[in-house]
Amino acid sequence: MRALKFLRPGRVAPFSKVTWPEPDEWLDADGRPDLCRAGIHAVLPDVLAPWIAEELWRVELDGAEALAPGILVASRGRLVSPVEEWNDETAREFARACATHVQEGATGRAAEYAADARASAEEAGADFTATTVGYMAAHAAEAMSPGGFSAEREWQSRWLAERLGVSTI
Amino acid sequence: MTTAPSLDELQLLDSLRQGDERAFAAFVEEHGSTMLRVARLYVRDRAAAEEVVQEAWLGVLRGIDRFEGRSSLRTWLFRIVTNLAKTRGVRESRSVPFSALVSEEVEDAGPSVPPERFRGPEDRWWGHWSSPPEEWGRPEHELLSAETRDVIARAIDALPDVQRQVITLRDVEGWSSDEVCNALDLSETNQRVLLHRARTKVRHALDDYLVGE
Amino acid sequence: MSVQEITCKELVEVVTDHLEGRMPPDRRLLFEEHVAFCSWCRTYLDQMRETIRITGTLTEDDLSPETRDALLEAFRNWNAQSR
Repeated sequence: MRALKFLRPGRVAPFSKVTWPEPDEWLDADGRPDLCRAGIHAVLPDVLAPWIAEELWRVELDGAEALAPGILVASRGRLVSPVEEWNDETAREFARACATHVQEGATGRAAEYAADARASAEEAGADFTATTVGYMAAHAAEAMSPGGFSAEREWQSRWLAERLGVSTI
Repeated sequence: MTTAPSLDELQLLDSLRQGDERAFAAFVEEHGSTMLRVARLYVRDRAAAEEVVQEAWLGVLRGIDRFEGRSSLRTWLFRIVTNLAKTRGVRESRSVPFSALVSEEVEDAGPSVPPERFRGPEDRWWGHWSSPPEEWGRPEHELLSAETRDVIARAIDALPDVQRQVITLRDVEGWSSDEVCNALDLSETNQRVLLHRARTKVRHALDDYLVGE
Repeated sequence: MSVQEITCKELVEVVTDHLEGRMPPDRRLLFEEHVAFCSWCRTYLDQMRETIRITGTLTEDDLSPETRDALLEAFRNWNAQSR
């Protein structure tokens, strides 16, 4: 099954700190104590935004199950190809889009969150900073309307997937 | 997660029974430090702790033929050493039963990090760091230096009794959660709470040392 | 707060649960989602891991040569007696 995965520089998994092998070589969670409890995670395009890190990869999973909407866990996975479009420039575009999307109609606390997002957007890069802007913007959305946080994160993910050409993988 | 002796351990015991001095050397290599460390959980004085180890060793030799393998070797050793260490010396003059100590230390509530380091409820980002941790950014050799290890050793020494025991067995000795729960007769939850408290304090001590304040 | 998330203040209380693999999957996801954007909590988590790692290298409790000798002698005596 095809999915997407963000990794730290050098193909390093953000939580387990495991280095993924080169593309096409399988990574097996079962043989590794650091992975076997959590398994291998990947996301579908509509859940991209919260997981941003420096590298974005197309991955293939073996025996994947849904852990939560759009979040897959599998015992085996392999990298297929990097999403070249993902870099500091597109990350900044993303951050700006997130901030802009919550400017209109924001008042009171929502406006404060939106201002935080706007201020951070200019410094955002392909590391965690881009998703921090998204997080702030999502809080602005929540302040405008309950339930707005997750809806906003979804919007952000879809925007990003489309921008990077990975809406259908 | 086994609580029975491994094949290696059984072979080692067998060789010991046959008087094999290489097995003896292997045993001391493998378990000597642990026995001393466990003794020192109860007996502060180092020389006294070493005497406890010597006595414990006699206990091992006396019991070796009767060891049935119903527990792992290290649990068995642990019991021999602690029984002697406890009779031998008490660290503080408290004679509080173990279960009371556990309750005390588990309930030793209070947050892991001073609340003023987080934004308050009036802040739109309440619950987030207001005074975040600073990166240590030290090279490897400095983190593993004698000085740094000393800071940790002293921090562990300063912990309340059961927290000290749990972190020593888990993080210093590398015992599994099951083994520690078994040896100290703790529930998994209590063991985890105590480990959390201990690690939090030790991290804090290390942070103070590396970053200062 | 109606947003389902773990704050920094909550995270420092549950970091051991996470390292021990004792969080239910949905909580663990929230934990990781937070660490994904919060560099400060990432630092804290890394520092916890570092602390544990360095703690694991404590070795200064080696038996003294005198004790080793005493143990060996006891072993030899025992060996001689039980044969």
